[in-house]
Amino acid sequence: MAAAGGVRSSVPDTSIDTADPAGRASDARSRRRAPGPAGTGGTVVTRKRKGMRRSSLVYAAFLVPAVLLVLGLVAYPLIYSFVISMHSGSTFNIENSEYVGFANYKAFFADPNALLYTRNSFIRGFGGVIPSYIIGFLAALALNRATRGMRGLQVVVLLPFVISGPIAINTWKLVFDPITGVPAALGLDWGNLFANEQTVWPTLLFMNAWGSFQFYSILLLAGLQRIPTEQYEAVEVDGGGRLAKFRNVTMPALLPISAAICVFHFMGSFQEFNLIYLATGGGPLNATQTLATYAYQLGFGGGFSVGLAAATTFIAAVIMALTIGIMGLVGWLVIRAVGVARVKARVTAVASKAGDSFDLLLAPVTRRRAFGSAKLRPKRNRVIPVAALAFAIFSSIPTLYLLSQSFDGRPPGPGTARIFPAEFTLDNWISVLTSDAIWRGTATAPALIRNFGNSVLLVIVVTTGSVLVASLGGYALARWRGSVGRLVVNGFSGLLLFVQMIPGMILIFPLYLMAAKFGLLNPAGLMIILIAGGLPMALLYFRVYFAGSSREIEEAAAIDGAGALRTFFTIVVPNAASAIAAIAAFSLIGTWNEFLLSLTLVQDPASRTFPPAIAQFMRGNEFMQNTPPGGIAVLLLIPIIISAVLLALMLKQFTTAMAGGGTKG
Amino acid sequence: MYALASGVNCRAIVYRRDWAETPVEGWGVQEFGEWAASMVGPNRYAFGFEAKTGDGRGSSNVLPMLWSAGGNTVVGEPGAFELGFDAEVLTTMYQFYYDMVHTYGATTTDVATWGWEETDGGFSEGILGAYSVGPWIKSVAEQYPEVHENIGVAPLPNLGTPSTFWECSSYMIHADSKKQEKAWEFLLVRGEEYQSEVTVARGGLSPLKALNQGTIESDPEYLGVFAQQLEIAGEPAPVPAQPFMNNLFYPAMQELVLRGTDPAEMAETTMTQAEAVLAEVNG
Repeated sequence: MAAAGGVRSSVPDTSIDTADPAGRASDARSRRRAPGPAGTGGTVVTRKRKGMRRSSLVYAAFLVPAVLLVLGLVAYPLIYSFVISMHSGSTFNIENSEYVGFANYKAFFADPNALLYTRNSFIRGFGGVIPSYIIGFLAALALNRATRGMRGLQVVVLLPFVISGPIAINTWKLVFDPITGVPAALGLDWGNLFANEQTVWPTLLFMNAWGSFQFYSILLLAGLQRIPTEQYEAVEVDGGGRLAKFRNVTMPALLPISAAICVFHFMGSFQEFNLIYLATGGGPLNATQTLATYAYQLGFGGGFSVGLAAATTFIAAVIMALTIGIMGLVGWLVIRAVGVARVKARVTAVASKAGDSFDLLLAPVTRRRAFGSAKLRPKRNRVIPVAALAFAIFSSIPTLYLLSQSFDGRPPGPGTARIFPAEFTLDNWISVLTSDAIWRGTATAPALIRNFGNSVLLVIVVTTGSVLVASLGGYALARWRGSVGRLVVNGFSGLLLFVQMIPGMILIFPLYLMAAKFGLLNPAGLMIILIAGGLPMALLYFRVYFAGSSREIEEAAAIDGAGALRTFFTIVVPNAASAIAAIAAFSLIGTWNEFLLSLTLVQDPASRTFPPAIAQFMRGNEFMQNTPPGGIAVLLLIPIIISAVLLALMLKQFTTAMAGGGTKG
Repeated sequence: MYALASGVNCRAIVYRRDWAETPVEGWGVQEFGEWAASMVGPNRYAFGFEAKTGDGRGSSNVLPMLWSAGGNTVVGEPGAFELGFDAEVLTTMYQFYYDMVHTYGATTTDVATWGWEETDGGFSEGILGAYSVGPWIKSVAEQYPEVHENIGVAPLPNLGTPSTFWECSSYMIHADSKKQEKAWEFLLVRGEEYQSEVTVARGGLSPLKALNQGTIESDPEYLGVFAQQLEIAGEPAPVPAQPFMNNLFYPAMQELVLRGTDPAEMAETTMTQAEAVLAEVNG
């Protein structure tokens, strides 16, 4: 609800007469054409109404693709998922299912492991948030200054955040390998960290923190850079030191946004799928089986009990919502009970300057200094701070290890583990880059270059489609007025906020069944679903952006006779280049790394995208038996290098979009 | 007369001849355990098996142990199957896996999370000394000459009655077929040309055993030993093994290995859960 309020408050409350460029245009034209001042009021009003109707039709047309996609591929599947959860039946034979009421829900609670899965989801949820927040907070403080080379440092720090799940997880598995990894090279006998009930969660949460603390860094850095320096100066005048500044200014200022992003991240983390599915499959002994991975296993991993799987996802969502509600209530009660009036006053003061937390999340890019912006501080220091360097090293250690291994010619097998190459060789690179696995395919796997091509095509189509549909729809949401317009805009925006909070796992089963029914278990189906899936966030982003942007040029164009479509493409789009670039960058990197839907909705291995293909390939015979550690390192480095290049090219746009509502488990 | 067909899955223990003495024929748990333990070395495991939930191949390793202990997954008629094991049978079977890890130290506790990738991969890369597998490991180990040249084959250890697993999914090309080339293309796509050429020799296929005989005789130390196992080979039960594997046996093996749970106690636990799986199987 806070989100809804935040968005609404950020949209200027303009009247019909002044808000609608098309309406004003028709109004202006009618004034020019009016024969005289007397007796023309009725004509003006009539023309104005006609203009409004015409503009309403245009906005409606702008909004149609987005509405269809969101209703058809997000809202409807949500309802369908609930219907499925009330039926028995197999994932692959849903037509013959029977209505069973709440039997699947009862079956879940009758499972003796239900409590374990729920507990694990909480470990994943809170364990995903707390370490990431702490590290992210410290990193934001470390990076909150401008020095030479800071941009490069930021790319290094951010890189783990944009590496796809299969690559990151297989990298860590290589690092922690009990026979050939770093512990073995250091003479440490840690055993297999993923096979030990005591070590598996700390290991997974460490890996997660490594790949997601940047989410907090981006947003907290944005928050830090909005704190007026006068507040720090005031503390100094009062004799306060660094600690006092942190306690009295920084913390209160970051409290609202911290609460908001922790809730967002908890939602993603509680229902996260990739890390556990790829690293442990829920083991050992269900020690890491969460509600999300259990639901997926029920639906696709054997048994194919899609009704029970869907019921499990709804139960997970309810538990998650209740938890957030309880946390909110407890937080509110604590603040009231403790009576932290000083903090409250500070929070209010800072929030009033910075906008509330959700305003900050959805604020137009032009108002914010993003991570990666060149305007961090007016004066640049020459020396990179040690703390920032430390975070860069922390982020890049696995990649550096891969790089080292890729130049090491050691054979596979025991007794050869080492961190640095004893003998420098390019053989691994030559071997992998000329291998059948990449160019021609093997007996059981298609050529990886083909999967790579699939990913490139998918990224182009999804990014273009998302930007086009979302910008048109977001523009309509920002501009459409009148009673019908308000109704549509408020209703649809509310729906967008609601569906944005829906865990993706709830939708996976209905989307699979719908795609199967319409013969869309292929890249085309995946493209449409990915476009639809990214729309809620992108639409809200564009809505806030356009609502905050000037309308004068659009009105002038309209007066000159430009139609709505022409105005949009020749005036609005060029002026919204920064917002479009931000959403495009976010969509591009997100689509490039997408795993769950690509794994589930594309059946033909040759049509799969790169992340599921490389995950599958790395579990295959050819890979396990024929690839030396150096070769594995090369295979992992190739997509990491691609991600690094993409990030370096789009650092500012990506981080701006991230600050606008993206998240990661 | 023995026969091995394309896609055959007759189980035996493959082991590193350069790491271990020639094994005892008809060995039980103790002989096998002691023999396996002799192979253990730094960063080197002796005996591996699959126990990862969802592993599609582990069943053909576990079922011979179950049969050897006197049980099966089910007995009876379709629709009215009954459990083919009791707590005593399970205790015997579980004791084997428990002993391999905790009594003989023949492998790491990590084995509880292994799938076929780890057993195949570990053996090929020289990390694992022995495991139960079908004949075709020789082709995948070709990348590692030291392993490839030292592969030995021995019967599976028995828990009372010698037993192994037999599964045939061979593809036969009729000698008179006008579509022979298409059929060979199909085999190529399946990636099974190697197996097919070893076992059936290009040019036509009639009675399977007769054609394979010569091939087996040409490789008596490897394929011949697998072929001999057909004498004691059981066949999979008339129901899918996976519900039993994923819901009962794999979790039990993980408990035994990772937590060191007592086999008899684990067997009792399995029995309390087995009826639900049986109900699922009976539909």
